[in-house]
Amino acid sequence: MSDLNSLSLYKKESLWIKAWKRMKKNKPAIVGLVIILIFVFFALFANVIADYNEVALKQDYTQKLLPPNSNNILGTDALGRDIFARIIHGARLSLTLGFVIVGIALFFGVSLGGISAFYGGMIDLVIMRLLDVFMAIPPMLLMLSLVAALGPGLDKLMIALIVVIVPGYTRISRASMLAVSGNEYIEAAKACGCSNLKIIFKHLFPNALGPILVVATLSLASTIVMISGFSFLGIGISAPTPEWGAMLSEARANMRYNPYLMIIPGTALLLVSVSFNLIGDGIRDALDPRVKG
Amino acid sequence: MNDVLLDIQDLEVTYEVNNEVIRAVNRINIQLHKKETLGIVGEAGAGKTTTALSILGLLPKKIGFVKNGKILFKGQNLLDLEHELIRQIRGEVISMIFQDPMTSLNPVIPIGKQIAEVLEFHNSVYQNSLMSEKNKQKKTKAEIERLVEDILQMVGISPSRKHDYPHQLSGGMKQRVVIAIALICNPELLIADEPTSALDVTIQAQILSIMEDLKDKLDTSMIMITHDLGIVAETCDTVGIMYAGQIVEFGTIKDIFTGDRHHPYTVGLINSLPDIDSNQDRLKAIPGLMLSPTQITEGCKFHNRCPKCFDKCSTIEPNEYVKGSHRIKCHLFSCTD
Amino acid sequence: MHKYVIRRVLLLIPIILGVTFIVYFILALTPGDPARFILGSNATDASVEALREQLGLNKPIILRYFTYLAKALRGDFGLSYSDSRPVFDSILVRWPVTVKLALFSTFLSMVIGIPAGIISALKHRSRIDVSFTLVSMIMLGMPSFWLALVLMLVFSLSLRWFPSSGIGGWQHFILPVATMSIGTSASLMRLVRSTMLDTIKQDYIITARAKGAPERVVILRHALKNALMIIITQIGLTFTALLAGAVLIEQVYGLPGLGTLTLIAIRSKDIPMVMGTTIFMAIISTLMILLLDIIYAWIDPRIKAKYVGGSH
Repeated sequence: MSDLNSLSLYKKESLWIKAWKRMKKNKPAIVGLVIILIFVFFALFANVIADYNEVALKQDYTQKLLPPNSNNILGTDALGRDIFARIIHGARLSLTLGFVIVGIALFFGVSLGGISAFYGGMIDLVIMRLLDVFMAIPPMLLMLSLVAALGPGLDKLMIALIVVIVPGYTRISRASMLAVSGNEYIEAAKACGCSNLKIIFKHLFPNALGPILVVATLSLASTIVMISGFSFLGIGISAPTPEWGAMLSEARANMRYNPYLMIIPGTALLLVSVSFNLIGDGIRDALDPRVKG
Repeated sequence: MNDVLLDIQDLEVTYEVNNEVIRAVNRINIQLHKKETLGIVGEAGAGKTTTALSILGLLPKKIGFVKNGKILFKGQNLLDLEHELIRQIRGEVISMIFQDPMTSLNPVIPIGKQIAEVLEFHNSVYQNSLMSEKNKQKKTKAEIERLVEDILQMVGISPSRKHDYPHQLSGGMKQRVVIAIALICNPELLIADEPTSALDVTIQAQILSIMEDLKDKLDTSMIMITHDLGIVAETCDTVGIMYAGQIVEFGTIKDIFTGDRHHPYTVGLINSLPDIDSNQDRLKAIPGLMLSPTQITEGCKFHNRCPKCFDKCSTIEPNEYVKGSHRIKCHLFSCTD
Repeated sequence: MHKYVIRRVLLLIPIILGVTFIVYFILALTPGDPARFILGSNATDASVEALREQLGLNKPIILRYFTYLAKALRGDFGLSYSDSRPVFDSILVRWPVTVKLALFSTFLSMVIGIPAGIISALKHRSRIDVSFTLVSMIMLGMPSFWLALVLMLVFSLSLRWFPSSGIGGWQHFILPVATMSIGTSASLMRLVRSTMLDTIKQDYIITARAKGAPERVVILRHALKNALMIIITQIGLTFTALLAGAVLIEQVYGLPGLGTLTLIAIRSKDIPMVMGTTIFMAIISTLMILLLDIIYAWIDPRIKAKYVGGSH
């Protein structure tokens, strides 16, 4: 038995190591990864580099609209706040929100998908029909009605985003788990008296991991953009919080004569979103080299 | 000899994917005489289909490369031909039947149109030296339609079904359509790549007899690619046994199925055929697996599975033993020539 | 063929019911009492209760939903909280702007995405393919509302080629349509590319080459037709995404469409208005997907043959 275990472990490991080796050759994905790591670094040490209250929020009209200088490497905004500090605190906010939202959505999506795939029958049917209806609504419309119903606020925006992305996760995890659940080794595990939970966690979940990882990475990008979009519209995170979308919204007034106020947060958002997409694509190609052809 | 139609000399084909080189075909020599059928036999991955695709210049672009050798068709090297000239030859002078009729027809075009297409592609008077024997004229639309109906009739499909789409036909009928496509231009050479292996056993015989009939009627030469020695025994005049990209034994049907000198692989293949007369319990398989074509091996490619393997088999590549029309690439015999 | 259309339309009914019910359900659960909202905070409990009864708010939600839907189908989406005028009147004035935006953008996405995808697939792994793919990644990740600001800065504020906001002639549509098409043309391009690559590998493409088909015919007749078939369904989804995505873009360019209307309604907690616009857009989206399904069936012989009462 121990031989068998070590064998399967070895196989699983080699699959991921192989995927990583393939990914290392994928230059765009590595560039994306490096950019994200830089943002993560600044996000982690944002408070060390620039204090939130003292630098990112404190207004100082004597210092307003300064071009980049030795004190403010990206200059200051219309209220005299250091743009670099606001960008890295914005990164902290966006990345945290992105990971938290995607993490919670993953939990619900994979659990629902697993239940659906494992039990089948009526449970599966009910879950899938419900998903069909949710997925028939354009995501943006669903978001709008949820935001309208729940009202403004960060927690509500998070709930809305989770509700919007869970159906997709559920569908994908169900499909990839179903792909193996008919396999003989699952039957064998059942026949051996393996408990349901053990089968779900040891055999079904690992199989859904690849596709789910791809979708989760890609939706990190769209989630972060979505948060900024709603903050930009004034129905998400509002000023004076250093959120990139909110910063863009503030920058509109001075856009004509101080375009960098608008260019900088937008570029940060673009970099993060493109990088997550590149990583997601890279993972997909690495896990399934056939797709690349 | 004068009536040699196709002469493949020292052909070497590699596939190159992601810096990995796969040696699919390693210096093979094959001859096909006019109006004869040549069988190429071997297991999956032996390089049979690759050989066929290189004759028509259909190796996947940027992946498959002919590294060496000549493919002489009526004395002219097909590998030297320009794109347009080889295109004119495809379907008109040399045509091909593919393995899986389920996927080799376009799902969104009616079958009649898929057959007529071949005539349309070749409906101009070419300045192609390889076609000089045919005098042809431009066909009208009505003539093309009539030819399509004729060929459908010949392969045993009612002409009224020419407006059907592939999904409306059974597997056997689809393969008949594929045969019709291959034969409508009266080609001089027909390459059939496992034409029956995707079909039910009961239909295999029908399809084979249709092909045999038409081939005789149209005076076509044929290359029959298969892994089934039974089909070879029924249809072929000469046989090449292919293993790991090499022709290990080549000869007339008599050379291969009779006589006492054979390559151990051929012996294994023949022994693995079920024998109704003897009361055997299980089929005799050849033990082991074919070496991966990415591995570069010394010596004979078959030595790891060969029951008669001896010391130099694993180090020195055997020369060919030649006796009349019979060639064997094995150390067991090479010392005697 | 009409059998197929009828079947699709029948299948559409539960989808429209489901979609509208979810939107209704979400919005009906809004915290706060609509009756008190209408009457203001000074109203007595009794008068609020009377209005609740009058509006049918005491009935179970399912009943309220069907009453709402029955009225909506007759063009009655209720009264707006903010100006007490019929919601449908506002929708009637605004919807052409949004639908035009979405249609133009869908068209532009196709014009850019489909040829780019084909070229990329045919020149697989070439320099063109690699650069197209990279550019499409950037386009795909581009936050549309930011792009709107950048385009506005460059083309209206600096170069003064186009008006920066408001409605008027066709010039007012150029920047919004360009903005909206960026993301969708990139995703369309990627889809076309991967479908074409997939199609080119099919056995029937080798068959076509073996027949002696010129390369042009192989691509146009044999590969493209099959690939486009798959792409048609995607176009419906593109339109749908664009319709809802107009919310962000209309706001930036100050276009008076359904998006701006929804946004104002959300800010002022005008629930009947939000409900009206979202349900209206949801219905248009479903109808568009239905239309493309029918076009698909009309082109694809496999579905067509099933319903045309074929000869066999």
